[in-house]
Amino acid sequence: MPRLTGLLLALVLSLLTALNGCGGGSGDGTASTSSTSTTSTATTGTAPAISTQPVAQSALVGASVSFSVVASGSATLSYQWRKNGSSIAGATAATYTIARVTSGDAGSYDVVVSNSAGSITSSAAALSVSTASGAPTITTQPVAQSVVAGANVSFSVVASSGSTMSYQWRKDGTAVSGATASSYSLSAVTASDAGRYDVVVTNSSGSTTSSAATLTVTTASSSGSFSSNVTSAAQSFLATLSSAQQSSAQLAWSLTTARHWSNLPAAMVSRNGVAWSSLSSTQQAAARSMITTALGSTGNAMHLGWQMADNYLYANGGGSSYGEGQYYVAMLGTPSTSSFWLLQLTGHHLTINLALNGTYKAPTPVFMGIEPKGSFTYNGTTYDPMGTVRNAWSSLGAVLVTYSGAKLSGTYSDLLFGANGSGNIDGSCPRSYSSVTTHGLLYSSLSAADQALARAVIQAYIDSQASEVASELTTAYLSDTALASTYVAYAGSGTVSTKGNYFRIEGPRLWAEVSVQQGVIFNSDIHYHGVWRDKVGDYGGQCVG
Amino acid sequence: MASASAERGVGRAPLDRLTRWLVGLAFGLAAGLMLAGAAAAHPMPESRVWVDTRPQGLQLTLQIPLNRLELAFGQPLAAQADRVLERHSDALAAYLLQHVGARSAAAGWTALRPTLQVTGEGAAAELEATMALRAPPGADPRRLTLMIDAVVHEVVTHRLQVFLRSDWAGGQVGAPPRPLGELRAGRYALPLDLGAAATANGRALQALLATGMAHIAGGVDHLVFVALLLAVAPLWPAIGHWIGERPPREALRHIAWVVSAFTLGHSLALALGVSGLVMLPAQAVDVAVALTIAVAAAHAVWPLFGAVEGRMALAFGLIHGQAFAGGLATAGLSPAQTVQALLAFNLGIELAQLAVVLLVLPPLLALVRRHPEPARRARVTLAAAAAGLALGWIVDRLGWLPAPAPLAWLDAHPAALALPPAALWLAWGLSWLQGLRQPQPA
Repeated sequence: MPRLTGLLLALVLSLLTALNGCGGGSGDGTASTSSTSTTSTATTGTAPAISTQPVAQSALVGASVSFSVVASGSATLSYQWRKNGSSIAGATAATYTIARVTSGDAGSYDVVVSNSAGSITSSAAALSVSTASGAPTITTQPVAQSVVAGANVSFSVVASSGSTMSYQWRKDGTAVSGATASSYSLSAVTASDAGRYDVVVTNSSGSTTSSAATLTVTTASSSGSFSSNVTSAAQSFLATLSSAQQSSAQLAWSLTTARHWSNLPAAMVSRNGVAWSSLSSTQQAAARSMITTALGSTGNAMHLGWQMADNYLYANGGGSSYGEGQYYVAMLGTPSTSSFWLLQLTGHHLTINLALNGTYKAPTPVFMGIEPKGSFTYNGTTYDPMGTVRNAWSSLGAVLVTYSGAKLSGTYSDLLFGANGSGNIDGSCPRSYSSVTTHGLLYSSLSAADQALARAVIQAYIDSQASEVASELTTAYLSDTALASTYVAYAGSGTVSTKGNYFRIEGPRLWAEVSVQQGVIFNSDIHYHGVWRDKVGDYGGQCVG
Repeated sequence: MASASAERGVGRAPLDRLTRWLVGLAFGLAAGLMLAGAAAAHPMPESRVWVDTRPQGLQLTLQIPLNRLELAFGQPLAAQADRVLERHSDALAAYLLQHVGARSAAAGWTALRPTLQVTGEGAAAELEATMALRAPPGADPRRLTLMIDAVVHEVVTHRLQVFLRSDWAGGQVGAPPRPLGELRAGRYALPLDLGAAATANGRALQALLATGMAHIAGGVDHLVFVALLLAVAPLWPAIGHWIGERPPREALRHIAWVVSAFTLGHSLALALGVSGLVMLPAQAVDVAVALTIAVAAAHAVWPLFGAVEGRMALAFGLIHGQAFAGGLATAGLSPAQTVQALLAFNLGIELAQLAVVLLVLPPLLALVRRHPEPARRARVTLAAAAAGLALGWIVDRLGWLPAPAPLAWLDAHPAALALPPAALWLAWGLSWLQGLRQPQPA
């Protein structure tokens, strides 16, 4: 069949042409490329090679230490030293010197040597630091905790020294009998266990005392009428739904299902529950009534305001991925006055996880982002749903810049613990709060007037909830013991109007962050991402390690 | 009765126009859907690192949002994404060389200067850097620690998600990327153990062959289309209806020609799709595939294409090949690997298709000769069923209505497609037994 042979030849030729055209198969990735510009790089010379690697060192605190590398390669060589894998600012010569070593300098050092053709990574060299006296050095301090009575709790410390260490935990300055390991666990705590705990670490050369960590013990939630009111409002709402709608609205409880919320529009990351757009006006009225019962009138007004903000985005170029219809109502578990269930209200920029009959009364995690950034008018009504929270942060930010200890290093372009799990939903549980090593400034270091501003921020979050929830949160977040281990922090310039700025308040239970970001629909303006978590009360206390 | 050659003379011009029109319609539809899909992109805030294995090490493709990179790079980038390369390509290459590397045990790897592209627009604009990492002599290139602190040495909230995109030696090819881990502030090193490498190409090619076969075996729509081509293979076209059967040799030659044309069409489209020269949105391609089935069903009742059946098969093959291309991911493969992947995957498709032909053709040829009238009725029934399916697919794939229940059932139970060929063999068997008792007149 000569015709077929000719066609096959054409196929092979076109295939080869096609492959030539794709840039030598240099992995076009999976991103759709709307506008692409390429640089073709003429690589000259060869990548560097290392002839002498940096070597491990040990030093006493206060001494000087140098790491060196010898490398060869064409053209000018650049050096970047790293500690534990992270580039050290300014450490860009063949030798890196630490003039006065501190215990914090201990770690693994290496260098990347590069020229215009490529780079090479050196082997790692450890720096071990010991104190002149030889007494232990505490590298991880015990952290403050808050639990309900009956729960278990554990404090731990990490210390280093050249010789064997022993530990003695103390409560309010008094040694606790038998508490002589690097961690100390209390089971079934009672109110009398509350107090300040520290540990004395001793070796043959001396001893070091850790900082004190406060243990707060709260009583288990007393149940007023809140749980039964929300339950009956939820049942009334469910009764207005068709059976198909009910099966979407009411899901089995699981932490995995509960974590399925996002800060992206529902059109991009699906949500649990029934869509507002699928509800008739009667059903919406029943939902509205339930939300008012669950969140109180302030919280309900916020929920409505967030829906209107999305309508505003729809009308101003966002299109049908946005809008009040894309907010969802879900119940995880069966609404009940006695057993655990979760009311999840979620949509693009607002998610509330109100736990009923759990170990804790908390609406967290709460995602509170917003675009447009401030007050807006939709259908003749003006809304500013995040106004109270934003203004409270704004006042606090204005004074925080006067405290150098409140400023965090690095850049915060988004939240640390937002909905940034795999698939852009809420991530693993509980968040690794212990991975956060810089906390900013203790509340107690603020002036009395500025302490009031910090309390106002916390109060703004609490006030978004119904009174029975708010009352429990007030004890948990604003009691003297809680405030004694509460930190305030910021990154950037301290205003709520500049992209890249960031704020945080962190207590034994509270975790609240706000990030000022580039707008998406109004992309020459800013918008906010914010999250409010409760280290133990998230998802009603079902999310603990 | 008109002769075959006379028919060709009459039929060619208008049918050629019809073919052109149908193909034009399919591609027009595809283009329209592509424009609709380009709107409304929400930027993804993380960076992605795609890992492709190479014999001497790894090839990394980093996709970093410019509005995050600029915070660490120290120069504004996102505001004028189109001028980033012209202004900063040397500095960006140097930055990446200092912040991306690897080590095996104590021995550090070499990284080669990346090639850079800027993709996307506005808040979605990203730097895409492709760089080779080479293991030092004596080190295992499949057991290493990836060390990256690009962006995250400064941006505390940023994350780099690392995926294994292709691993030819490990047999991971043509499949969705596999997540390897995440790098972020405080976690700048990711240990990777990719296991032992296969000694030959066998593992990857085997996987691709199986993927190709599974692709057509699970693609109910492609099977239905092939069945429709076969249904009319033993017949002669006349204007408006099918007449008499072709002699067996002629029928075989004809079906070989039509199936080859279909194969040529989809191989060509597959090559174009995989090479990235022609990229149509999956939805548009799926709708066009359903359209081809509707047209082929009509053709099985009234010969629309007559003597240009081969050309129809070629044109429709081009459309089906676009759909096949969606089943083969070749990003990150070297050019030689891409060619091999394409051939293995296509071979898998051909084998599965050939199996269908061999399964259906022998009883079909026999039955059409012996029982022309029941065969005609069976053919029209098949065409009607296929047309129904095609309409269901079109409506479903355009998102107008959810898939009708029979369609959803069929998608979930593709094994049910074995019933028609089984019925053919059964009918042939019965007819053969009947023939034993009363021999057919010649």
